[in-house]
Amino acid sequence: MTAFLRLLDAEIRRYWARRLVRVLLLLSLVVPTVVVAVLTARSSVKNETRETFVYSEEDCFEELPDGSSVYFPGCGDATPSETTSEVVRVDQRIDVVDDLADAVNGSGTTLMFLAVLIGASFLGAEIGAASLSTQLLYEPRRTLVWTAKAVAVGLGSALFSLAVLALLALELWGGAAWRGVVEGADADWVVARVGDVLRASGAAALAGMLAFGITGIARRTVAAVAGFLALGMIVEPALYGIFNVFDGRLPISALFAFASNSLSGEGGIDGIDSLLRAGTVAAIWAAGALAAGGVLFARREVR
Amino acid sequence: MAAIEIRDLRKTYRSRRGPVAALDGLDLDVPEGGVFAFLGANGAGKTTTIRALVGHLRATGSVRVLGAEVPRELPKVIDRIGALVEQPSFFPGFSGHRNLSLLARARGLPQARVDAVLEQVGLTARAASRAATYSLGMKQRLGVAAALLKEPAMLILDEPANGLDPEGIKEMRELLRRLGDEGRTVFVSSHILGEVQQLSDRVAIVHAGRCIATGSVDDLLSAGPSKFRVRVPGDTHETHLAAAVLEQAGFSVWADPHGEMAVDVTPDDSWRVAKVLADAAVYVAELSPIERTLEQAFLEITGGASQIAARVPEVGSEPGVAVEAAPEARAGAEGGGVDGNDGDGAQEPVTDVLDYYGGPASADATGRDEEPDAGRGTSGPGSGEVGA
Repeated sequence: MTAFLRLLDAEIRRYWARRLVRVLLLLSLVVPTVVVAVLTARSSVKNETRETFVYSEEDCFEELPDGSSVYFPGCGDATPSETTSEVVRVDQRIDVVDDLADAVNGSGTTLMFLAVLIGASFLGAEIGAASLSTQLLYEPRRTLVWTAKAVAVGLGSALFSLAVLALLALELWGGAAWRGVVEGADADWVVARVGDVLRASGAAALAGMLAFGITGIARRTVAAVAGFLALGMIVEPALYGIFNVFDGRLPISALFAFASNSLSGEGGIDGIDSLLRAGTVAAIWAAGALAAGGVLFARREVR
Repeated sequence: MAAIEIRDLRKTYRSRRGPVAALDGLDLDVPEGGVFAFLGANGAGKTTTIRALVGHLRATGSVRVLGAEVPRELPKVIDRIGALVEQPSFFPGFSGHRNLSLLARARGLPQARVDAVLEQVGLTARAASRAATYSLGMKQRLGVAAALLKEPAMLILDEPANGLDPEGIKEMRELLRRLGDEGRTVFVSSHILGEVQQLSDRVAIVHAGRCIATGSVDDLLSAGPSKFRVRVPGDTHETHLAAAVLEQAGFSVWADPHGEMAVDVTPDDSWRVAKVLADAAVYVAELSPIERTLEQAFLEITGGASQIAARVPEVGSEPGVAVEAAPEARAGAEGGGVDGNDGDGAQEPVTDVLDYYGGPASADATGRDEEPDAGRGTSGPGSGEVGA
């Protein structure tokens, strides 16, 4: 085994041994399970009788001085003069074809933020504990150490998301097969959803590595996470608002678009018109942050 | 080949008050095998040197460890080096065992080594506990275990006895001695000079970023002025009389009010003390050499500019011991001398440095009390009280 693979092995084990990772993974597996269980329990089609109130129209007219009258829809003190009832078909079934894509896209964003937290703290905790100095007594090639850690964060974040999304998909499929709808879930659909899961996992990997790189620069978990949030919530929207030149070129919005499949258009991110572009922009920023953090790690004196 | 070879190592830190030279042209050679102690006061440059040895900081000059240039060639020999730098740092959320296990994996070492070194440092019972719950002494043991994990040919340990209880210090001493006896090179910095004296084969003393003395422990202890304890029958008056007689005969004498007296004399000349006193009808009850401890030697060598300036040629002339004046001492000596030394090379007694009897005399060589210490009530050599 080469030196890098040995390091990577150790770093991946370090990643999964962390209590934060284990707790978040447990929560990430339990919460969707509970949600899907509730949805499955409620999954049904039923006819509901709904009462509709019919208001007496004359109660809602007011005569004006000139003899005309004005109609007030839904007038406040009107009382129902008549009640009618109608039978409505309420479909609460899990429809895996529609619901799974939404669930993956929604969960992808959440998993992306978890990856940020884990990626930043993976390095931040080691800087805080000064345990890097001990590791460098075993492998003094800092670039190797840095790369192994960054790859471990990327792989760990991707596997974390993959596990959660795969479980979510299986549970949703199971719920739909049992008490919902699975019609339309053909091979193309399966391929598309596998693609969604892989994309969301890739977004988590990029987010984790971006946060890891930012921590290499900021040297604190809190600073890196706060910086990530500030970028996404304040800096990028402000830049988009002021300079069109940044449209589709900033990291957090690109990551968000990549994780949630939100492209340009209604509710989407300006300037990001394809997932390929979103992923590429996010990857470039993650690589840049890793490179900058790596250079600082190689140059800084270790305590 | 020297296990460690350092030439003109310099490191300057920036501080608010301006640049601070932590290492100021340090030269050091550590031979292979045995225990080599690296001594120095706080801030002398020990830890900075050790951090430079393991590539944790950038310094100018040349550092070679096991023949490899640091930091460029360090990866070639890192498998043969075990190190503990400052306070050992581990991931606090992991157990001691997991911390070592991850280090072992990073180098492809068998996991059985982890249990073996934990056993070796006496941490087996707490191996599964989180490192955050370890006491300072336990963290230190874990740090030593990490250093031993690779079965290194060379150990570089920065204050390994830090935080250990007396039992732990003894165990550590025995462990390091055993490793040294096995032919490994154990380079250890320490403040506990008593331990170092029992443990080390060779010693280097660093002061103000320079190595000012190096040699075997025995050579270091035998270097410097040889002193003999002189006891005469009778009361303190007799002692003071004897001191005055010896002073008149040209000896440097240290006496205290309790009747204790020491005299600078070589073993070969010690008979002269007895003869001079006998000629003056003062008879000697005891004339015995005073053995220096490493602590005394260390304090003597690092004791300050004046003492160093006065002592350098004398101690440095001893066989097997290389002593260099501390920077401020050199400056003092070159500047015409300090504290009574006129810088012309003439030796004056350094009786205010060594406190053999528990209370420092504060007189200079001329017999003047420069800074009388009323609380201690001592009188210096040849002071006005002697022979009065």
